[in-house]
Amino acid sequence: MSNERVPVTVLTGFLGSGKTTLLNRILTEQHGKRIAVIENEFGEIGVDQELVIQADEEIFEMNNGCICCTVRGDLIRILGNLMKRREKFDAILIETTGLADPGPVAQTFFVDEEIQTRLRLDGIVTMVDAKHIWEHIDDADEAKEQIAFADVLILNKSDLVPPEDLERLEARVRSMNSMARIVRAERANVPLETVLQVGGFNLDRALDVDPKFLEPEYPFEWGGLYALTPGQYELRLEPGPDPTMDLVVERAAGPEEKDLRAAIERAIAREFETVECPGKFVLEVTEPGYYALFTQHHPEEFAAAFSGPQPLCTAEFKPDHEHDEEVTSVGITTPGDLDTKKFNRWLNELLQTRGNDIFRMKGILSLSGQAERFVFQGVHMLFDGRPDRAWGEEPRRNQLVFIGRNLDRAALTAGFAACLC
Amino acid sequence: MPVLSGPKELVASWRVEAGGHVIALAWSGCERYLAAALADGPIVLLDVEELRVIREWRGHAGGTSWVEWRPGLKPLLASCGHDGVLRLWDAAQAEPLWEGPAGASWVGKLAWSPTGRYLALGAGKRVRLWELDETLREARVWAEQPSTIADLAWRPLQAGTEETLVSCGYNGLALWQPELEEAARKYDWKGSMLKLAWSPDGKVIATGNQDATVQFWILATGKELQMSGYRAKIRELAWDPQCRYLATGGSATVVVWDCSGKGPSGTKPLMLDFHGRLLSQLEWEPRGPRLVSGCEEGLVAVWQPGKKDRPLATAHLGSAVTQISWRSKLAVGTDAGRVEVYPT
Repeated sequence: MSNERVPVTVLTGFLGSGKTTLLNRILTEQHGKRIAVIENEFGEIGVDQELVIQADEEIFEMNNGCICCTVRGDLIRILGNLMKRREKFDAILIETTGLADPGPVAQTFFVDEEIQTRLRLDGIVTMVDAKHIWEHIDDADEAKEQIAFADVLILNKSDLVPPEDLERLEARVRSMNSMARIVRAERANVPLETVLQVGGFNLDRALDVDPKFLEPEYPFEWGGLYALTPGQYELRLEPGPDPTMDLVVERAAGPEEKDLRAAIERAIAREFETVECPGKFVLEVTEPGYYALFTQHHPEEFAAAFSGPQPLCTAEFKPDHEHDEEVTSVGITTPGDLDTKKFNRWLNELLQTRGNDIFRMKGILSLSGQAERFVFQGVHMLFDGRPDRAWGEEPRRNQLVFIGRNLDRAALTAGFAACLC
Repeated sequence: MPVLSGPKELVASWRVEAGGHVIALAWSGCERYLAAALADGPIVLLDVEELRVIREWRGHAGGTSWVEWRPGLKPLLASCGHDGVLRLWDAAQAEPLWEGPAGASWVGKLAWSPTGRYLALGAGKRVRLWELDETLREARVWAEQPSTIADLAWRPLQAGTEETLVSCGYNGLALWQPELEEAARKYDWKGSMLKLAWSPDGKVIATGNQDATVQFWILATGKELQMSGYRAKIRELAWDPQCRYLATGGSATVVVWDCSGKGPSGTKPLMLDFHGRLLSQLEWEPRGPRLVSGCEEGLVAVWQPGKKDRPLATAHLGSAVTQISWRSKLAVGTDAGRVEVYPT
């Protein structure tokens, strides 16, 4: 009997998003994999398959002292039974109902030892109907939850939507879920590897994402580093997307990008100057040296023209826009070691008080006194973590992401920072 | 100098490869036949006198979930599974003696009443009752419960009382009696109850729960008692036939509660250590005092709880023990399809 745990993929998305199309493709394509599908009672899988099992969502709550969670009991029963069959599966797909909250499905894989021995949750894949999602994304909690929980977001029917709308949708879901991989599709035509073997809950890949998405958010989008001699310089701004733009200038230690980035921390402590657009920003330089200029929006948006030399280097930053978004991702990146006791206390308090609003979290931590990185993930109040490889030569730092509803970025960041040694 | 005597090695008098995960194992009333139902569907019938496989019934398409012999000497086996059909088999015949609609596509459990007059089914979210007279006819289709029925158990026969059945699932227990249209009693409990065990004197129902607790329900007073501290969900529970002990799973240690006197509340249970991995089965010999345990590693141990805290005898079956049935002989089944019979 194989010791490999069978990967389980959860497929969610509103009715009509294309879930069934994707499922049918997965079941009929000649990929040589044996895949069992557990579908919701009202599914309409066209292929007559022995490997399709009907499940009627049955949820119960488990309360173990301070940790409370909601579990799909029917899945425990069905998956337990599947594992007793002689037929071995390469993967199992669970299709949820259109209005499902993926939380209970995910939590099920954290709480049952029998399930954990034989199965592993591989990823949550959410199908989004790019054409019709706008009708739901602002009101339906389920739509937001499905987006927030995803490891892979498939923007389906992308051919039916103008490119600008697609860009807008992508930016919107990205702001909600900074960890998910976003893929565009027409008629659910994504390759199988996009959906299976995603590793979304694999602690070995605790933060296997584009580091750019983990960057802290700053109040500016662009920075440029200049070598300036004493004199007066102007940055002319034409009309742009906003009536004003904020700017700040900070001395830099050298001409390289690292110097530009180092200047950031000092720059945010300063007061920004607000310039009207159209208008100009005047910079008086008394000492020759390197100067970093940070602008709230990208200068191109205002057809900005600088009277000084070309920048030595530039950098772009993720904007800290007020999206008026209920569901957001908060990324924290900080060097330094954590006081384990303080961190445990803080996290416990956080999960107990805000656990319902925190959909997922993932991260790598540097714990004081531990030579190894500590990797963790969580769904609501359930937490799973373990030591990983040794830090070795790698600089010790903490990287974590919270995806949730009404998250207080400042409080989370400050609370976490207070746990550092 | 005392001689250290370790546990005896249990020696199988017969070993059969049934061909799949043994999901149910049952001795016929006459004890000549042993039925081994496989999770994949087939039901293998073993003749213990002739030491051979005499039937391989097809069971249920999509998988068989449970089989049970009707109490009595006539070898009549009821089976259920995932094809929505209830079947009765006669050891002397290759085809089902009778079949009828089970009422749901997922029938996880069935149980004959102690007299053999009734057959209860956990069909989806309902408990359904069949009565055997000349033929099997549906007697009751009781009201839908909050969830799929996880387990069923009849109260051990008590003189002068009606046959009573208990069912469990999520969020409660229900007691049923054949002559009543509605549940005789209901107990609410938030959570998932997986396994039921009725004390031999009919006074207490024990449940093994998903949240790693064991709950006692004392029928006369309506009081409940909860035992926690287990590592995992409790899938196996067994009352000692003398009505003193409740053996429980939920970890690698066999935890045995002494329910005599004032009951187990506030007491320390017997902790029988031997298995290295999670327990999977517990069964007492028909009139006690011995208990047998099986685990996911394929080890079997025979104990005499209260007398000795080390196993009296052990066996190693090579892969996870899935079912145990003890009558005059001990039968053990595994997830790889091995069935072993031991003289005891």
